[in-house]
Amino acid sequence: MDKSLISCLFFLLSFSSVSGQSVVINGYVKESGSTEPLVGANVRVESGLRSATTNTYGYFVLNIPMSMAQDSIVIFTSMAGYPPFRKVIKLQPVIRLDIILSPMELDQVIIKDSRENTVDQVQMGQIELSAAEIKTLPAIAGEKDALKILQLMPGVGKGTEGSSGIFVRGGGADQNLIILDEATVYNVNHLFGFFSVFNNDAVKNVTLIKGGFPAQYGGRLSSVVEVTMREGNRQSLHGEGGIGLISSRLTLEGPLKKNKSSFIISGRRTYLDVLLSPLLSLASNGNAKLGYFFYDLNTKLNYDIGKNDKVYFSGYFGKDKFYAKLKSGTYESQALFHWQNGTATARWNHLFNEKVFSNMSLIFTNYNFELNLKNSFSKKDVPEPFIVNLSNLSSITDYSIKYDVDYFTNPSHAFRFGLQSILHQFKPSVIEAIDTETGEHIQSKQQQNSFESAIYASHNWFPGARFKASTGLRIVSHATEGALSFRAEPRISVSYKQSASWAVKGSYAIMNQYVHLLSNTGAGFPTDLWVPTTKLLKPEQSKQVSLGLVHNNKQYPDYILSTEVYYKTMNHIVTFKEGANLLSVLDGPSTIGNTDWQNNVTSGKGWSYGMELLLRKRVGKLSGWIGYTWSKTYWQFQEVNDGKKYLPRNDRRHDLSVVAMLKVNKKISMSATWLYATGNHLTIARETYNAPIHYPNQDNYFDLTPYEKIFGTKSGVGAYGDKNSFQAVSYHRLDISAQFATTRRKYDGAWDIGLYNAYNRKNPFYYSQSTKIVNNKEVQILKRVSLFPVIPYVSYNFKF
Amino acid sequence: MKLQWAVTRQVALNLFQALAIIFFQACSFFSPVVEVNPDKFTDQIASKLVVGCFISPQDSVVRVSLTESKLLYDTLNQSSMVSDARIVLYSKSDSLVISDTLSGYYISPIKSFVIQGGEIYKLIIKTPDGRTVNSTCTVPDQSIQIKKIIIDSGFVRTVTVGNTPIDSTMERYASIQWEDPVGVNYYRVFGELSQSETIQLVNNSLKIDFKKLLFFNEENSRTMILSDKNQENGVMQSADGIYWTGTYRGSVIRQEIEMNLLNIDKIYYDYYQSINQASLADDNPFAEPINITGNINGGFGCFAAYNMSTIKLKIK
Repeated sequence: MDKSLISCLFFLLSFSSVSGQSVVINGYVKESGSTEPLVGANVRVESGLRSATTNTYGYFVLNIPMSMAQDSIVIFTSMAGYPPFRKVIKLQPVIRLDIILSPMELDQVIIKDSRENTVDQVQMGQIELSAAEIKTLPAIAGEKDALKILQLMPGVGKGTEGSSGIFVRGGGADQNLIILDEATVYNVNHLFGFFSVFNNDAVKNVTLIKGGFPAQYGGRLSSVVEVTMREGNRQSLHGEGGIGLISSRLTLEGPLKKNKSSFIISGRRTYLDVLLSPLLSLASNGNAKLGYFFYDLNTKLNYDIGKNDKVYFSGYFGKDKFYAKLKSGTYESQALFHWQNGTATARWNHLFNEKVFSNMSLIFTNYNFELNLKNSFSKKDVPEPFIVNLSNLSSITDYSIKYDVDYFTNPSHAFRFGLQSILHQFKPSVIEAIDTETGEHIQSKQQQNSFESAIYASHNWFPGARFKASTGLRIVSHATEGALSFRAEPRISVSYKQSASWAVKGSYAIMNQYVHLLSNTGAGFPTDLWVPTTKLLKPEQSKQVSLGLVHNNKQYPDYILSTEVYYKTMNHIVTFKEGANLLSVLDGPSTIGNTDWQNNVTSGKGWSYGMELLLRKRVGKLSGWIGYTWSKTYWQFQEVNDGKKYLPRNDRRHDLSVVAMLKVNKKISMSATWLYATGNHLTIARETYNAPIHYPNQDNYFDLTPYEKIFGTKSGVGAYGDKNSFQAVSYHRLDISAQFATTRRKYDGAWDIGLYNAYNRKNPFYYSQSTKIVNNKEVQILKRVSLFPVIPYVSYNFKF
Repeated sequence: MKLQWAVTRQVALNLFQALAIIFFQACSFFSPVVEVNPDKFTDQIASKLVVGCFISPQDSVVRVSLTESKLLYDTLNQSSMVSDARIVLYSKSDSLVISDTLSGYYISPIKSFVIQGGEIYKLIIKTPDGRTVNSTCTVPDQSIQIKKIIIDSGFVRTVTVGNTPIDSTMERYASIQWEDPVGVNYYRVFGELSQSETIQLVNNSLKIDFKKLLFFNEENSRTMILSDKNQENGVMQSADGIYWTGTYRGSVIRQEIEMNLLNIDKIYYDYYQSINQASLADDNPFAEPINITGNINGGFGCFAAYNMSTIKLKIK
């Protein structure tokens, strides 16, 4: 390993020997009633000169210099959605302070949350969303979805209509590290992306990091989306659920041992198949069967082992299934397509002392999809039907261990360091073909393991009230097929608070990615393959620099304006070659040997730069945000578009979101979102022609036409021009919704009604070629097909 | 087996299309489809000439097909053939004018014009409306001798009515072997079955002569291209060309297999590769779109060369 890197790490850690005289206040911030730990709560000395933020487990350490200390000090705690908490405490060298915040009552909405009014609270390239915010916003069919709300933030692009895929700062859909309670979720889509796998009832908090990445995160180029599950009420049994047009859901939570342990279990399922399948069967006299459903289940248990130790067990399992069956005479065809995600995490929090917090995690995650095609046909005098069966399985499984330590040394220095090791098991393609009539049985298996490890250390430095610097270094090793490589990822993030109104921030980060997603649909199809870095395919790497400005105008203290500019380069990114055929297995067993994914891919470069603006108001009767992004992204691959640079599908020049939430009174709240985005770049045939085919001996073939006898048969093909040279029309849409709360004796209910695409904009979903008759002549035309017109929805949610 | 796969694939794709249609139609029941404004396309591109010309020292004529592409909003049932063009094939020292024998089909006997291995040839086409396209290619140095032809038989499929078999078809395979010379080489293998058979009618018998191209893969493609990129020089063997012989339909009185090995240039190989990929991508929602590679400056299509050797095997 590079000696300079080791020296640098040693230098960072050597700060731990620096110590100063200080008062240490530590503890947890929790919600009253449920005692759910709160993530991202701000705890500070009332003067604002020293502050701390709770981590994923609700823990904080506030170091105060002795010079600031008197006999007593006022501690102020705030978090969006909760009234501020203020407490005067008598000073001792070490103070344990567990803070309980009560959720804000509806008539308290006018109380200002001063957390948002300080410009230094805005993190570079970071966005946080609480479950409460997600619940308030309108959504298609009433299904609230964290990833779709993130799409409304600047710098975050969405894919096709309805899709929950996110594209951050010119990156691909695979460049986002999406983690649910520390476990990577490889496919976040249900129903081709119209729903994400995150059931909002089980979600506590969502954090998106798109720049200025802390050193504890790695493995993806463009963003980190950290989803934290709720822990469950520790006081009493509660439940909530909802009945919607497409799916229903139910959550139960409660104590296993009061104040010591709790559980939460949350599930949902769609039921279109249950409703439609009998009708289809009836219409086809039982000869046709067709259906789709998905379900998912989130569970979490936690237990306090004494004051300094806590253990958590959380798990997720979700499955989508498409099936079709057709019967005709003695012939029967079946197609089955299913994909599933599963994660399991065991964690142990340990407080060594008030300054040292540690967490160890054991993590399992798996994603797989399977395609199965089966034809059976019967013959007279043969008792058993003959079967032709083709199945294709693809999966990725990770086993990982992770250990993180937070060391709050003194008021000026805090450290975080840790390590992580992941064993990736890839099975990009396992194919089996059987023909019982001929006795043919063909199997093909591609399998590869890789081992990814990282150590990191980061140092937060607070030399004064105005300046903050966070430096970090992550060293990653990757081993596969006998090849071992090391890479260093330096990270730096600085901020300078010029006044109470202005702050300037900047960051630089290098990220590496050792897993690649092969996707040619851009729609988050489950057929997208996760594949490893190999000898031929190098790890992807990005370098990103960003600069930001935060402003909080004294005249409008509830509003905070932030702007960021960024420049990002991406190297060794992966895409399909032109004409690559992902499911070439469908072409029969003779092609099975040729389905190695490495034959279908090529690697290249990308560049992205842009400017993002966010005006946000999180408090008051009317809250919401306006987000605007101007950006430009190029990709270049030697084997695509003749090696020329091109604009990827999701390059967007302009992207605007306006989000408004209004609390009318205790019972009624309303919300609206309007979004606008420049159209996608697509590859569409602008002309067609018959490609001449050559035969050497064109004389007298039985089945050739006179033309073919001379010149061979011709193949009708499209001429697509340059890659993505067609631009779709711009996308814009207005969604509105209203929630009406009802109170019953045994439970609280809420009706949620709304309109998706309220003014029925015909946004492009895809384009297709077609023909029409004009003056008795057939004319070739191009059609724009929209997916969702105006869609009203209603759902009923309850809580007890 | 191979036919079964073709059926399985088609049924599978149909099922997926049905799924996709039902899903999207259900979603977009009230959502109209909008026709895209033709201005978006027609002001950007013009129709291009499409040329097909493949030359060889073994040929006695040179053929050129000349058509043009159809733009969006063009009328489809109007002929795309281009007539009255001036087409000239140039060698280093000679030229050959290829006359228009049928509209869009241009054929000329080679006569004294020489096409030989290792030489560069240029094709220039000018249309009456002033459009010009051109291209060059190099004829591969030599034809590669075929070492042997291998015939194998496979699966028998019998069609029965009641318990009576009325027809039985045997799947047979023909392949060839040859010595691959040093360097990167590209090949096309091409085969045909030539057969005479008599069919017994009520009062007399009928003699039928026919020729059929061999099938080379699941897509019923009549092309088989390959390169030696992944192997050092040595013996190469083609894939199986498939043909079927009936046993109940009539009696075969003559049967002959002819196999051709074309030593092709890279242009020819790339052109066919892209056509094969495009045909697979055509009805596959999981495939990337692909432009057909070509070497016609200012147009589409291919001007390529080959050097051919032939082997015949009389089976009956």
